[in-house]
Amino acid sequence: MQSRFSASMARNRTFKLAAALAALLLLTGCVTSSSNVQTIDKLETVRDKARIVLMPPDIRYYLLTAGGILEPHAEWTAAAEENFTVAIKDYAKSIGTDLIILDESNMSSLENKYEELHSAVGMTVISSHFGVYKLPAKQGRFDWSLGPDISAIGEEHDADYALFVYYRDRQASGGRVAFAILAAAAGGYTDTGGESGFASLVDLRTGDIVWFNVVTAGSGELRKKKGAASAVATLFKDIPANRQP
Amino acid sequence: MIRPFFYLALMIAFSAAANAELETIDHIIPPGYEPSEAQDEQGLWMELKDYELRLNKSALLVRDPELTNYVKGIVCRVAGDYCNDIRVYLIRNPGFNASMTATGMMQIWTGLLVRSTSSDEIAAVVGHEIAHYTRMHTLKRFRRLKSSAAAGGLIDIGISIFTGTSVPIAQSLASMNALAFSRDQEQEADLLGARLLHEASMDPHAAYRVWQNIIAEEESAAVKRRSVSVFAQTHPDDQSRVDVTREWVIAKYGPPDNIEVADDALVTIMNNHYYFLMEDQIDTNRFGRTKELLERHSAMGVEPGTIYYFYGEMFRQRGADGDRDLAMSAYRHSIETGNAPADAYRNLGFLYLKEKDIEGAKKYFTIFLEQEPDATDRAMIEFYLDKG
Repeated sequence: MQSRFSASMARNRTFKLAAALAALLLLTGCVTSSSNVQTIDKLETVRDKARIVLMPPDIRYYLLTAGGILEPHAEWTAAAEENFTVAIKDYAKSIGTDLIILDESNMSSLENKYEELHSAVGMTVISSHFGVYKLPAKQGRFDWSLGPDISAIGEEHDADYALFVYYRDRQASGGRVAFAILAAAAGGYTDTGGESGFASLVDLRTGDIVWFNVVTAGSGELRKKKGAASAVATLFKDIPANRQP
Repeated sequence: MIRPFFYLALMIAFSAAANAELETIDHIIPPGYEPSEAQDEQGLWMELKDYELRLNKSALLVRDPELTNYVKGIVCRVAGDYCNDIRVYLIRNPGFNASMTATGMMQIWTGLLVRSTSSDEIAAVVGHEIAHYTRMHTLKRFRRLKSSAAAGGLIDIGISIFTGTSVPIAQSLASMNALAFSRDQEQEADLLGARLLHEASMDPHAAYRVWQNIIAEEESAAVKRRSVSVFAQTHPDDQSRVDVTREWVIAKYGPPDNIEVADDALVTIMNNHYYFLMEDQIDTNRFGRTKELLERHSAMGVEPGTIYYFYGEMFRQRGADGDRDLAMSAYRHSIETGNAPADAYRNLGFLYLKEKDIEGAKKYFTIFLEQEPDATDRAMIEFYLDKG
């Protein structure tokens, strides 16, 4: 029923999403690539160490089937989330910050709202700053913001910054790889999966995105502890640290 | 040229198959169902649970206890033994829609309430959705897609639920085009839904009436959706589906007793929440459809004061030649009933202002502020009052 009555709206939307994803995929090369932008050099805080709230990371593992369907994989995703959380705790310590991890099942409406807003803004940053859909009036400036009302979250957790993470991994099934080889023999190209993601750091006083990093291909295998550490290192490479050395 | 024949062939093939199989349609999963260990089912549940977590926090979720209890009451009655497996979410959206996921999360849009003439009709849509659930249609569709080598391009069932993209929560599930139910599944859901209605001592004839209403609304639309619209494309399908359902219901449960009448429960809900429910419909700027709905509500016995007010809103927003007069007249009718929403006075005041009738404007602005002393636009209204 729903498909019948709302699919035309939905199609339009799906198209936009697909465009944003395509932009993300366009950044995919065969080597690790990472594009980053930052508007601050170091974290600012009145405390000893900057405190960062980690919003529940949006991580998803898929199985890419022979027919080209992305099938969400619960077991892989759970393992990836667990490894990622461990890895990012270590990483936060290494750059001299306190990390507060929010519990996904216990988010306030406001936190939820900002997570949704950030995703919308983040996808737009990917397609319009890094991607091909440039906004001419921006003239290349990076001045994206979630708005100052986010300061309520900063006060709630007594924190300076919020960190958002989005990560997708598509693992090709055996059938998919075989299909790709056949297609390549016939001169075609077939997507055989890969990983991509982005992270951004938001100033909780102003709502401004002060650091944004997009990573693609070969950044790390979150399903394994070691891979997660390497993925986290790639994802947060060049994140502003607590103090300038 | 091939297409019409193709569809015709498909329909004939379907109705032959239908007669044989429709009798035996039954629930597949038992009450209290939990997902199997199968990887694809686990993955689907993971996505949907994550989605539901966010849905719980959505600003579009209607939390009014009277409205939600009304809807939940209908769902539970129709669901019977499955009641405890279903979590009902009423979503603020003027579109006609209800959906149910494989995990038992049911979403009902407020647009469904304004498009129903009885609780039985709402129950019919609910029954249809529950049937999709108990027959595991989503998972089946997903598996069929997977096994078809023709899938070709990348289809991401996650992309639409894509936790955390800009997709407004109520629409994102609907964008699972890849998982759109097939026509056969829709027909199955119609018939099993009718059975659920009967078992709940509700009117199984509502199972086809509700679709007839939708078709009537579509026909009264001032601007038909463009040809890309799925509704337009599937319109003939829907008519033939309605026909199959009607024949089946009459054969099984006998002819309809009488012309359907609106029940008190729905009329009470409409009267208590009419302004809230219709406000979003008005904002769709689909005047033909809005008019059809207002006529329907009037016949159901919804309080005329508010209905006249929305006629006024409809004419005022359309703004074609002569619409200002029609709008003013509608607001006046609303006010004459003695039950006009305060906004009727304000909006009538604005139209007097446009007519450059300052005295008229002042008169209605003053009444508006008396009725709504805390109005958010008080300062602006006072500005107009001072200016004259």
